Amino acid sequence: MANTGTPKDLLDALNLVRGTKGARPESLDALESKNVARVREIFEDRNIVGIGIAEKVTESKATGALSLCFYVEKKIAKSRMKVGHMIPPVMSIADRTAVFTDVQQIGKVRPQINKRRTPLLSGYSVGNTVDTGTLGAIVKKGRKFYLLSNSHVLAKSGKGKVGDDIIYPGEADNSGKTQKVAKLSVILPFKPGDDFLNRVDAALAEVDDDFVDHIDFSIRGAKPPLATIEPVRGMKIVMRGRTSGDSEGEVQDVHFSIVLPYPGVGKIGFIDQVKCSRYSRGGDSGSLIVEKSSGKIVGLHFAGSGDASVFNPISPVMKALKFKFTNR
Amino acid sequence: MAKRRAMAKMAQKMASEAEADQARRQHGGDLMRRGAHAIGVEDGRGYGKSGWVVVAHVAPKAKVDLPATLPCAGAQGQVDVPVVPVRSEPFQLE
Repeated sequence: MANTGTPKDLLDALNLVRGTKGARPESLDALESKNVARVREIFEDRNIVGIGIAEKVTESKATGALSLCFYVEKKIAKSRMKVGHMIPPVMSIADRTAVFTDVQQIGKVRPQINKRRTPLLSGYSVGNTVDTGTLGAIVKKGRKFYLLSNSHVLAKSGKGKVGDDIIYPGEADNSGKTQKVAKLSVILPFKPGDDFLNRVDAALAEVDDDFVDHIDFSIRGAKPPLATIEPVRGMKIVMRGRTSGDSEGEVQDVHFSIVLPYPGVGKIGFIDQVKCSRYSRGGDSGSLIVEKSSGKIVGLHFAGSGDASVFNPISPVMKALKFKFTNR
Repeated sequence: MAKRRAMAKMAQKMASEAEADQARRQHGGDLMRRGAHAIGVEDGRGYGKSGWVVVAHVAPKAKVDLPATLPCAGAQGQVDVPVVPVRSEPFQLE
C-alpha cells in the first residue's frame, strides 16, 4: 500500500474490523478482543455500506481528528438504536491504544458504471467519439446486426454522419482505449422547435464484422421469444443502464408531451411519451425498458429529471427504424 | 331532483382520458408558452379532481400564468378539462 500518511493505529483498527491483514483479534487481550468482535458484528449491519478513515465530524463540524469512519445508508437516532448495535465512540486496539470512531451518512451506494469491452451487451456503456450512453439492444435488420440506442448517444442528435465510429464502452468510460465496434447507419433527423412533432430519439449502428461473434443478445427482464407491448399506466417496468445498473419504475403517464434542449440542435418537442417514477440517471439514455411481469419490451429511455424518467414507446421506434428484436 | 340535476351536470363536466388528451393536444403549445416545461394527462383523483386532468409541469421557481381549465369538444358537448400545475425540475437528456 502507498504511504498515505494515515496513522498506523487507525490502519490497524481498519484492518481489524475488516478482518484483513495486520493485527488479529487473537493477538489482543480479552477486553480488546471482545471490543473488536462486537464492532465486527455491528459491521454486518446492512445499513453500514462502507468503512474507511476520515476526519471526525461532530455536530456538523469537522474536528480535525481522524477517525475510523463507518459509512451508513441512513443515520439512525441513538434513541432508536438497540444498545448492542451502536458503534462505540472509541475503539480499543492492540497495545492499549484507542481510536475515535465516527458514523457518516452517504445514502445507498450503487455500482457507478456498467461497462465492458466484450461481449456487446444490452445495458452497457456505448457511444460515439463525444457522447456516452447505454446500449439498448442488439437488433436485426435484414441479415445484419445493429446497436440500438438514442440518437443523442449514437448520432449526435441527428448531426452525425453515416459511417461515424461507434465505440464500446463509450468515450467517458474507455480510459483512452477506444474500441470501435460499429458504424452509424440509420439516423432520424429531429423536427426542431417548440411544437410536439417528434416521437423517437433513436438511431442504429451496424455492428462491425469483427464483433458479430462477440454479441450477447440477452436483455435484462426480457423473456424469449422477444415481444413488445404498449405502455399503460401502473405498468411496472425494469431496465439496465450504464449508470443506474439494474433499476425499476412504474408508468405514470402515457400521453406525456415535452420540449427538451438538445445541445447543438436546439429545442426538440416530443409527443406521446411515457413518464414514469424515477428509475434512471445521467448516462442511462438508450436503455431498453421492459415490462416486469410479462418480460415484453415496452420502450427506449431517453430523458429524466430529479422526480421522473421518460421513455419513447417502442412501437414508433421500431416503425421508424424498421428493425426486429432477436435472440441471436 | 335538484341534486340529480347537479350530479348530472357534474358528470357531464368530468373529462375522459381521451378528452383530456385531446385538450392537451389542442392547447399544449399554449401551456408551454405560458411557462410549462412538460405536459401530461393523468387521472384526476391523484390531485383531488374528478375525471381526467391535464398536468402542467412547471419549474420550481418559474412564474406562470396557466388557465384553470382547457375547453375541449367532447362526445357530450363541450368539456372543461382541469389543468393541474405541478412544480418539478425540468427534464434533461440522460
